[in-house]
Amino acid sequence: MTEKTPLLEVRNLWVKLPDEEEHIIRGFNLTIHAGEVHALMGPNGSGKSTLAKVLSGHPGYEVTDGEVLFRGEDILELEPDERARMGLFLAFQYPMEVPGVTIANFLRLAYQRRFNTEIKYTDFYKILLQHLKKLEMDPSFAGRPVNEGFSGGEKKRFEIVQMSLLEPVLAVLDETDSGLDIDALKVVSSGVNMMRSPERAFLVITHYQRILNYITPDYVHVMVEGRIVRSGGPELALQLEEKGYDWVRGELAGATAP
Amino acid sequence: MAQPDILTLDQDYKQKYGFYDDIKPVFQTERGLTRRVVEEISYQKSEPKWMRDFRLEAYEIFISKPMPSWGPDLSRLDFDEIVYYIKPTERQGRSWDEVPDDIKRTFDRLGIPEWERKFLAGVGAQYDCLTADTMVFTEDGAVRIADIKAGQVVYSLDPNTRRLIKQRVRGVAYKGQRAVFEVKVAGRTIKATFNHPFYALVYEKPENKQRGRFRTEWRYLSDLKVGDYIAITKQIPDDGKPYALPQFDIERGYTGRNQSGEFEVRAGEWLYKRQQKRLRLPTETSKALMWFFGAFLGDGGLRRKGKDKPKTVVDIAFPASQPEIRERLADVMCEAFNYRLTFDKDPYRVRIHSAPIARLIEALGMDGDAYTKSVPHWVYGLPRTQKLAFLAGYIDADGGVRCDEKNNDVLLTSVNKPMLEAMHRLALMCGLRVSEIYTFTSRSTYKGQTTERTGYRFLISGDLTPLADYSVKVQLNHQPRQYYQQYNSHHGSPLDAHTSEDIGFAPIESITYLGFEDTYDIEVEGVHNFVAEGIVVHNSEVVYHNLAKQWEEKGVIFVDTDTAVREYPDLVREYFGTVIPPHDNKFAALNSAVWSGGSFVYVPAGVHVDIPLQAYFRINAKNAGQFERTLIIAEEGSFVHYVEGCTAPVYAEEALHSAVVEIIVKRGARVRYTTIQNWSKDVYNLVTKRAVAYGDAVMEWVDGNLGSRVTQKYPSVYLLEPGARGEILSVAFAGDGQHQDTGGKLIFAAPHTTGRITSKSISKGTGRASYRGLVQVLEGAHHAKCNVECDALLLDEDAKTDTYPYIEINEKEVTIGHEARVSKVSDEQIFYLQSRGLKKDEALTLIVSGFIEPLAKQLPMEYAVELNRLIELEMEGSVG
Repeated sequence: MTEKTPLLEVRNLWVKLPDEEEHIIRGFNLTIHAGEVHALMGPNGSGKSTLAKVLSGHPGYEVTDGEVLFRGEDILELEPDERARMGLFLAFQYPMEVPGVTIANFLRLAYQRRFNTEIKYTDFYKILLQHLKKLEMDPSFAGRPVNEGFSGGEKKRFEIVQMSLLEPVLAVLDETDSGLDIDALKVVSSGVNMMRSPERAFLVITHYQRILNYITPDYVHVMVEGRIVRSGGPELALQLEEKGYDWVRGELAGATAP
Repeated sequence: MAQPDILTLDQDYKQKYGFYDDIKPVFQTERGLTRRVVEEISYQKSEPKWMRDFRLEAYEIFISKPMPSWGPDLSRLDFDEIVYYIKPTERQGRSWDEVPDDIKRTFDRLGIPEWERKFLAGVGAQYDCLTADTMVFTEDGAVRIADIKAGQVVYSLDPNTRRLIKQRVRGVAYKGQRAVFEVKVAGRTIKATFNHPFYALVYEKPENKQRGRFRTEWRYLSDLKVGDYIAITKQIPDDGKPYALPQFDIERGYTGRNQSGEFEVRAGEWLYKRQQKRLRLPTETSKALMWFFGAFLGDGGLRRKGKDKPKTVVDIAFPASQPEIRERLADVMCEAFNYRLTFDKDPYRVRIHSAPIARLIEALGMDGDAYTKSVPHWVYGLPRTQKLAFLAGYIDADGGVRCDEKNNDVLLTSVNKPMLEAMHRLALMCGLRVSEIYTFTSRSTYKGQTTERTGYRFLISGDLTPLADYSVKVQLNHQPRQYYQQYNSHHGSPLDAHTSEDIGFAPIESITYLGFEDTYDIEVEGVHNFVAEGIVVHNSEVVYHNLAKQWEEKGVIFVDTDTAVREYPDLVREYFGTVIPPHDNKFAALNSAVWSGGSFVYVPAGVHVDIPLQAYFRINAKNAGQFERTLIIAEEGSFVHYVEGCTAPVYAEEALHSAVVEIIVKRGARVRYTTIQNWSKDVYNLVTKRAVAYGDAVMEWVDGNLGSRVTQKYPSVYLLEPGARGEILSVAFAGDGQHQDTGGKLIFAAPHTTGRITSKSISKGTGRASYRGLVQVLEGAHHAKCNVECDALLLDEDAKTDTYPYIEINEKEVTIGHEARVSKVSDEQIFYLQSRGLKKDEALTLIVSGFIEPLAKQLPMEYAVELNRLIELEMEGSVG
């Protein structure tokens, strides 16, 4: 076989909170190749967001089994910043506020780390403005403190600004569509679509099918109780929308437990 | 006395940063405090009796007062181990070279640029300066550096945009006679001391790269050599204005003459109309007028029609062999004055018979002979088109234009050096490419006598197109070319990233030692640089220990307190110890008994000192005490900002810093007092700071506390009359083993008084930050308004913070707000920043710098930079 190394390979991943017995992710498997867009759907509490955080290296979870290979390398031992520098990006469901720190200062540092370079403030400023413009954000945001006083929609847009600036190889979008009105959703989606390329992949985590009208996925996976129970093409999302998650749950109940 | 565990902590610090400083004194008292020690201190200072009595009384109070029973743990403080007075070996350092190596090393570790270090080290005078005759490019033209005044606006390079911007001058300082070097670059000449910084282009090629890249940095002259590229101005932004000309009535008199002599004809209107009705004296300069003035300076002169007569004839030596130039003169006379020029038979000169025009030239100070004619100062402030027209007129009169296969330039020659220099500078400002000014000697022999004459010349080359618009000679000869040197390249490599329309780089042609000359330096706000002689140079941060003369003239006093006791005894005696009397607290009593040093500031009524007055304190030896005493008196309606920098950390062993600061802010005055203390981690920093504010006065304390083992400091304001306002902004950083017990006190003693306390603290490791504040509204202080806000940030599990807000209100109609917040740096916040590629400690540092940003904003830039550096240093290695 001459198939290329997958960008991301998650094999039999088991994850729990350190103080608890119950696992949140239970034997999760997923392979993503460069150029692909995967949608991960599932009901609340199915472990989608946990998966996103684990992939990015959140220190609050414990991986009890399995492995995560990113660009062929096991990244579970790596710090979040090391993963980011390898080109992994997570657009947060709830972006954090950092009072007193301007977007320009923060992102300049991030840019320098991501691309391992030094850039002058003024040069960076020009680059940042381009990316803000792309997401239809006012240039004045560059001087505002990170996420402080942003509306929900502005926070989500700003996540995509960061993605577009940091040019990740794999971007994980964690419910980026939640809390967005239709106009903002279009802007955010076009921001993602502009970045689609044969070298880059996306994992779009969402509760609703809505965003998939704008970002057409190559694959759709349904996650229930910590693992993928069904995979298919874009039509699967439509089926879900129509029949609801109970439909997959029902099917699951019919199957034998592992 | 020191417990082993304390020492271990400090050993770590010493090993890690090597901050340690030990200076041999000429005199020091024995350890411990006795009556004799207090007497000895007073004797050593040869103080008046009242001060000695004051000290001795304070000593008795100190002995009788118990240690405070509240607040941080002071049990390890042993008064008997401390040396209370050390007479330093020498006076304040006079130069950077005299700053002890240990302190220089400290700055190295902090990574503070050298010119900022000097400033922080409190060096009284610096060498980096320019000669007195250096012309600085200001908004109003080129001005001798010695004549620059604070507040004047100069052109400075904005390194970000690479354009010239206008910046205000903060101060000027005479730096004495210094060894100076002459630097020649791109036709420009400047005389500077060896450590004056220039904006240099540096080429760097990493070993693994095929190509290097250029970057710019400030370099001392001593680090530059011939061939190195430094920044020059290609032009000065064209924002000049036409000059308003003096106006006078055109005389309607006429001198008649007949056989019996001359007589005055009080000419009737008819005569005036007949003779001169056409003449019009312009109200402001124009291109035509400036061409005429240029031509006059080049080849003109004023003549009288007879002895004792006023000068009424303007002669211009335009020969008939140059009809084009004569024609231009006629056009210009018509345009500028509505004067119709006629040519007489004289083949060498043109005569303009007009008393008003002659009078105008005289009034403008342009008249003189070949050696004394001069360019009026206002020419520098004209729009570029008028400057070019002026140059063009001068060139048409006196310049040689060579435009052929080989040459494409204009040669200007004169025996009048100041005038030629002015033309040179004008050409520079207009963006013309000029050579340096050469000196030449010509000999002529006439009737066996040889005379020698010294002349000066320079060339204008490059693109002459701007001149071609005005100069007949250039028009006739000029052949535009495709390529001109634009100072945008380095041996052919383009430098677009570093140049602009205003700024270019050119190689240094020579550096020559000249000897000793009077030197000056100016300090510029913001970007800290300015343009002198068409070259971009850095300013030096002037340390205002030696108060600028202009303030002295206004009656401002800024001296150390010991000097004040000697030189201003009455003033000191009136206020000393009135705001904080010795019996106020045990440490105030201690300070009153053994105080030494500190600053005395007196600002007379209505005087606004718009430069911050800065002082710097440090502990000089092991187990030494530092007990400075500062007294500030701001008379009615005055303003002063005092900045106290105990910033450079000097890591001594166990020591006590117990200062007293008293401030009197009279009606309508405003005082701002800024401190950043970064004492070593074994200093007990117990300071009493208090101000009294009278009607409508404003007192602001800005207080940053990073170092020390224990700090107890609660700057306070007593609001004594209606309208008084007190603001206290305090930031504390408590690292491992540190306890910062800080806050503020506001006493509302009059109606309609307002105040605000903002406190921010950061605790890291086992550090503890306490806010302790008092808001007291006395009876009768109705409509007092006060707001207290405390934010605490905890970085670690073990870090502690607590608040002790005391509020006592004895009046009904008041508005008092109190808000306290404790936040922990959350894992989520750090994860968020880390997920963008920031390392964990970078993320933490960023969060902390964001937290203290409200304070950093309030600080003078140098201090803000340093505060950030210090916090980075504290945060270093804070992550496992």
